[in-house]
Amino acid sequence: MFALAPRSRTYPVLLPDRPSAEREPARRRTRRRPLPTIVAVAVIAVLPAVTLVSQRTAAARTGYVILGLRQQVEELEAEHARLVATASALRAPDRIERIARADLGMLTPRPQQVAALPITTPTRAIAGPSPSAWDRLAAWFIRSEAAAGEPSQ
Amino acid sequence: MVMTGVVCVALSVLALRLAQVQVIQGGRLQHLAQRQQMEVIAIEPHRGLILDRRGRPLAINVEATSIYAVPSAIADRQAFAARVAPLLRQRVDEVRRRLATGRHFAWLARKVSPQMVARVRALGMADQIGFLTEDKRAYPNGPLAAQVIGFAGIDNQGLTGVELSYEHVLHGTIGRAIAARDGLGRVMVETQQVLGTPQDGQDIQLTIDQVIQHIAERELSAAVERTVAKGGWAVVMDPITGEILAMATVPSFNPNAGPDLDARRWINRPVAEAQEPGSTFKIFLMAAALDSGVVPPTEHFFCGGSLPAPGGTVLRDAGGRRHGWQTMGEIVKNSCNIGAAQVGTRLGKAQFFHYIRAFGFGQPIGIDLPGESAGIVPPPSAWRGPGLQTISFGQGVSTTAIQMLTAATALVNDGTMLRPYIVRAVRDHQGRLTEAVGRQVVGRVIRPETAAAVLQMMVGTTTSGTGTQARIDGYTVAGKTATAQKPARRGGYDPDRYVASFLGIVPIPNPRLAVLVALDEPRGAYSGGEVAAPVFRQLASQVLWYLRVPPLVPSSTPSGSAPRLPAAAGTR
Repeated sequence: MFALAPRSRTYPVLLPDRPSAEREPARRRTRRRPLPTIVAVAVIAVLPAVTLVSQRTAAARTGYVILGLRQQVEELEAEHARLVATASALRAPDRIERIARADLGMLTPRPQQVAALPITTPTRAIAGPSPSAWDRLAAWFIRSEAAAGEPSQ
Repeated sequence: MVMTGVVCVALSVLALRLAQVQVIQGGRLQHLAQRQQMEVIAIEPHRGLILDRRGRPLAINVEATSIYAVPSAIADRQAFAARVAPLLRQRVDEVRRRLATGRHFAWLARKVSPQMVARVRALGMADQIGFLTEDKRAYPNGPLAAQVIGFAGIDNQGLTGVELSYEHVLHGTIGRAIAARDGLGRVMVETQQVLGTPQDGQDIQLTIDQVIQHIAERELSAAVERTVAKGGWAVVMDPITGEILAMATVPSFNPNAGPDLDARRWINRPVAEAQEPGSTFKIFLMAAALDSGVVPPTEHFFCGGSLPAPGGTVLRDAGGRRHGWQTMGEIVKNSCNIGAAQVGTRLGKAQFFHYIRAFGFGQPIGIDLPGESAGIVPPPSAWRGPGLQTISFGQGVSTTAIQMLTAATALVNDGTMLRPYIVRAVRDHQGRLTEAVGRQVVGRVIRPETAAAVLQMMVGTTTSGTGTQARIDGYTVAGKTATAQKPARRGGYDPDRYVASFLGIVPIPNPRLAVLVALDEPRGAYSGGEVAAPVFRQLASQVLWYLRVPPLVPSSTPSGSAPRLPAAAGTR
């Protein structure tokens, strides 16, 4: 008896391409570029720090500018105060009277040398029309402010 | 695999530590860091200005440099003191005492002159000596109204006058900030955090008029010099509003020179010093007598030069004059003590005391100035012997000048008395009005008819009485003279020491000014009519011109052509 030997036949089959897993390492090997990666990482990590430092520097610089301006303001205020003091001292009635009497030879008028003149009609006309009711109403509202703010004499 | 685990653990530990430092202990550590790096900076406010009624500055701030030392940086204090003291015009031991007051900071001299600063800078001791700029109070008019304005101390705190009474308004609020300093000691603005914003002091506008004040001081000084008096005081008031236009005391002082002066000169005598008023008190006696109805205006009193009084004493008129029969107006006009004593006797203790208190005597009137004296008005139970009679002509009570003027406002305002005031308005740093003060009515003291009658009596004093030297051409003056003996140190009265005064109101009608002038211990002529009334005339006439108050009656011009004008309603 003949043993039936297993027969093998080769059938043509259409096999799929090699799995991608097998080809990937090679591709990776070919695409990996470390320098740009490092640069990118460095930029991402360092950029905020650089930005922070530059902002701090700018703030400090602005701070010194503000400080300088403040000092300028203070100096100008001090100068203003000195000028006010000088102007006030120059306007002091005592000094003006001393100059008037000693340098200009002025004298206090005697009562006979002072006359009050009646207001003439044209002068009255220049004074303008009498206030309207609206003016009076407006004046009533601002009276308290005006009373303290304007010299009464 | 193992390495990955180690890295993860390490990173976790770091993250946990970071959380502990930043989150759990963050607040405490931040506070600690701030204490180490940041500095608390006090931001001093600027003191408010004091202005006159027209906005002219009377007290301002200027910059001044102060000098401090760093004691910890000084190795040899004795040598340092010996080197620095002459430049600071201090003694060596004084500088050493100052160095002992602090470890890292000690004031050497405050608010010194630029010349002194330059001399100290020239020493080149930058590590041991520092300089700070501070506000310094300055009074550009020098001694003008010095007692009213007062002055501020080295730390810009008010010590007398308006500077003291309005300290809460003028001082402002100190601000605080924390900030880091750089290596050069400059404040790093970007690190500054303001904890409290400083509020500058508010400006005060006084009722005082600089020009009127100058006139008052000039005339008063001239009178003090002329009469060789110990001193004097004068107050000018607007009797319609109660505003004090001028308040002068002679001798005065210069507040710019600092407080190292005779402290007695700081006293604002019209407010703080009570004197026996003398005969000006008679006008209030007459007001009381007329208003109460006890004495009719037509009543006559006889003056024989002396009057027996309770307690066995005999009252005498000044100079032993005999005025004969007099009306109440003539008693005021002639300043008759005997007549006044009789009016007082008729009025009685209780009635008179009631009116004295109603006129505000014996109590502070509440003017907004410090150190106000209440005066002395003893209760009727203490008016023993001739007390009632002597008080009737102004002996036995003490009043201040401001009390007399306040009482006089009742005569001008139909019997209504006004409270005097010195501050007209308060403004903030931007000039906005925050407070305005106006006419303050105390109350009605007497009837309008009484006020008018007494005012008319006072007019008689200046037309033909003791106060004729107070007359001003073109204006009707109501006034009253007084020559008050000063109490002797051993009791009784000193026959050689007087206070001569004059109280005047002008013009009548429509008064614009109430003025009180007093001279303390004048030599030679000493009566109020002789020495104080002329000062009133000089002072009031110039102030009336300054205020453009037209004359109401023809003046005695050579041509006699002065126009007669209507009442000064338009200029009020």
